[in-house]
Amino acid sequence: MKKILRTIDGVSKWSGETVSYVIYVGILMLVYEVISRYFFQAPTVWAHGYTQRIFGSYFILVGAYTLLLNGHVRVDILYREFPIRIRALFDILNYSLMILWTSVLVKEGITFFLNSWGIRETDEMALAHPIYPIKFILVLGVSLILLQGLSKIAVSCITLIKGEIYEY
Amino acid sequence: MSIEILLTVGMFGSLIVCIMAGVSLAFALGAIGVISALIMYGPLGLMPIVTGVFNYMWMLLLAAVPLFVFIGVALSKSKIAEDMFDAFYLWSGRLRGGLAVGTCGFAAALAAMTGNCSASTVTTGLVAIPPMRKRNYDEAMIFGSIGSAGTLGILIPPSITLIVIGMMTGQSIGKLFAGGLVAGVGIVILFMIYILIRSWLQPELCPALEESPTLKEKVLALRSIAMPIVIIFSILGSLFFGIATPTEASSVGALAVLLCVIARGECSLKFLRETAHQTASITGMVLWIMFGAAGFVAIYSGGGGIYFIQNMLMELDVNPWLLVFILQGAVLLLGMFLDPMGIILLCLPLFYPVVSGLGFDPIWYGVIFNTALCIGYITPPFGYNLFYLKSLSPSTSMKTIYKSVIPFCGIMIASLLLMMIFPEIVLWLPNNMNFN
Repeated sequence: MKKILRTIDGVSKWSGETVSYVIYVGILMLVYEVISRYFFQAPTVWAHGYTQRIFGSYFILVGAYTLLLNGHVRVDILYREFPIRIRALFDILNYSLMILWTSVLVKEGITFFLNSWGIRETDEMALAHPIYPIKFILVLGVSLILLQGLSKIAVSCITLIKGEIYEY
Repeated sequence: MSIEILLTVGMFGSLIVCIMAGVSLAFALGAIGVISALIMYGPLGLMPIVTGVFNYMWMLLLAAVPLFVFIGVALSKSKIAEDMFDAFYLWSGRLRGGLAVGTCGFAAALAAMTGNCSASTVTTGLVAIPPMRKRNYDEAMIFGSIGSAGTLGILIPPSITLIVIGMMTGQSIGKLFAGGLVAGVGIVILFMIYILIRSWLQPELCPALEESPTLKEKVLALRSIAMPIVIIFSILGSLFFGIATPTEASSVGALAVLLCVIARGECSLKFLRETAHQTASITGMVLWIMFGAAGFVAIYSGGGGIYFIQNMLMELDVNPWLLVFILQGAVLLLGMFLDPMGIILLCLPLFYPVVSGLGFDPIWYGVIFNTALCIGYITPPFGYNLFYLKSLSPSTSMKTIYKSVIPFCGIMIASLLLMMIFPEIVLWLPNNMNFN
């Protein structure tokens, strides 16, 4: 059990940290576009389309990492006042709603991706580059956060039973 | 009872219950969207939940969110902000209450580089609390000035909330920024005037500095504001002169901060790594709220909820001005419980068509909507910024923090009323600038 939980945490940490460096690529790409348009009157045809692809992937892929770090902010005014078992119950409510939502996202996301793949969908810009890889990344991102949510809810359940915070 | 009322009460009612029970806003929004879709349409009606997520992923404008978050994180990790505070500290000099006035100015300058409140409040608190404590400033003055000037982080451009307001309404981000600049700077000046009057009446609240820095020291300290000026100019200049789009301006600003950090010799692999990681986790929080809201709003709108509320508001036989006041009151009230981003995504689709349909200026409405969010952000008992203040000084009681921000909330509400009654205050700058 501990091994599974640690593996899931490791996956979220690794994927989030790796994806986080993409921000530097995004910065350079956008600045390149500004310079080539403003100083050389030669706007690129690819910079904006690929900014959308890079940051779209970034947004969906960092969800699991944020969850790992408990970064999805909660109002904890009532929560803090309760004993540990009640808090575990609130955690279970939080994660089960999250799991409900993200499993729908995974299931519908797969259909969404397959529809796009079926017609080899492209974007509406001059280059008409494919759009389906981003829809695949959507499925990947929501699967990662779902996995992290399952790990979190397992920890909360064990905490509820044992009455003390479960360390692993 | 009509189905739309049931839908509205059901969805918004369960949202409030979930939030009070400590469910993350993103997950509450997403799950309520799923459950409502299942009740109304069954499993076949779930597709809008995922298309909504994709629409936000594909929104070029939203790339500005992580970039502005990045600027805030990078500034807080480097010593740029700390050095800038020294300049404000020395120049605030022997004036009574000067340090609190300087802190307000510092927070406003920081707000002109970052896009959200948490960055400006926490950074201001870290550098400004120790010197104010050392001068025996009254706690109410310390937390009031830091918290309230920090909350203007989302009003003074660049602002993530104004970007999302622009995205939702299709209005020019440049004009919204210009309006936010006037409103934000105006409110900061009022804060400063209040602090000066208060410390003149009650000198024991904020004693003047004992030592007097020489003119040479003061002039030397000005060097430390050179970099912040470059950063602010690279963001706002490239935007206001029409060189760059908001997204591009945020990347220019991010590069400017990086270059400043490199020039100061503070850039290390550790810095680059930690800045990237922290940016990712904050961005994840903001964007996933949007993903949740996308599904929630799609399902609510699909069930006829938005149309229903708009009709109800239009049919209210009241003076249009009264209606705007009521809607502003609702935003203020929600601001005490919900994250600003959540309020924009939930309320703007309901309110904006009605307000613009009544003939009010859309830029003006965007700015006063955002100002109301700012006020909600710091209003006791639940305003988010109060908890940031508490985290800066865990030993201070929540009651002291509440008391400290109340006069500042009063000033902000008075300014909001002024801006509502005299729209020209907000609009003179946006209307006199040329945006392409």
